[in-house]
Amino acid sequence: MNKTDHEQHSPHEEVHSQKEPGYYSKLTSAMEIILLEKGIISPEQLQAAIAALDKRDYRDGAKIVAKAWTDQLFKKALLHNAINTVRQLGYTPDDDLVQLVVVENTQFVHNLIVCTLCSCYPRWLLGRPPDWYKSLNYRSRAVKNPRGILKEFGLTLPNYVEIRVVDSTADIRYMVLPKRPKDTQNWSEKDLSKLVTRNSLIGIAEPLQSTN
Amino acid sequence: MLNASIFRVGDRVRVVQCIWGFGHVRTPKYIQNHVGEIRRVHGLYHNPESVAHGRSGLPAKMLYSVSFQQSSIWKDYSGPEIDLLYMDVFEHWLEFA
Repeated sequence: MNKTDHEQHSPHEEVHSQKEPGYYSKLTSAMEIILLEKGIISPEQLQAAIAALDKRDYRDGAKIVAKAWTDQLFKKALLHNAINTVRQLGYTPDDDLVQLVVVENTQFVHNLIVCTLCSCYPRWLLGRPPDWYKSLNYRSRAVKNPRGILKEFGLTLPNYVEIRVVDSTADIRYMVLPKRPKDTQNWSEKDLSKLVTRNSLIGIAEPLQSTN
Repeated sequence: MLNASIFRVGDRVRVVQCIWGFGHVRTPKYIQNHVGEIRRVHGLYHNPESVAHGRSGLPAKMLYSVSFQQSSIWKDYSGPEIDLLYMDVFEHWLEFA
């Protein structure tokens, strides 16, 4: 974490991605060049790794959510032991040590996921996180002023709703099970999954509503 | 016995303060010295403070989900008292409060 970067952000500045590549972005590029030049990895291996990551998409998370909205037993299993439950649907992490926990948003509880130390995210399931999720601005402010940051994303929560900011500091990766939109009782799982956005899986927004 | 967790769900715990101040740790400064409650026992995980330095991460350490009252962490917190922060903290960073 770079102190100068941190000081550049005023407390009320809106969350956005940094345009100029940062320290770690430059470091990663340099590392990539060295590994390729020395022949430690081949360009094909690198491309394969990127392709594998790009194959993952939040829409798989959306399908899981839609299933949980329509199947109470599945939902119970998902909240109790997410990793085993999603494995049964064929989603397997590349690394056995990575864990997944799904947290449920309700009428009275709203979870918001952040990683203040870096940008931990269930990439093996949802693909890449959005740029704002990795920004120092979001990471430093989500823990201190979650209601303010939610408001910037268009979600104002009443004071009776308990906000739980989840800072994923260790090996557990988190996904939010958002609140099922109103007036969707007779919707199919497939149609429901279209209401689930990437942002709603992080808890920064609610899913789309049935009228959208 | 090595697999048993010292803390149980509901226990009040304090996050210890980092005294060495260097190396790779997964317990952010902002939570050190704050008191929270054990919410979930995640189980044993490789110790990141060892893994980050190219070592095995063994013996594995017990990992917990701990909740903290937002208004107790930030003096100027503007939201209601019910707002919480959840964080995953390794056992060797916790003591009974």
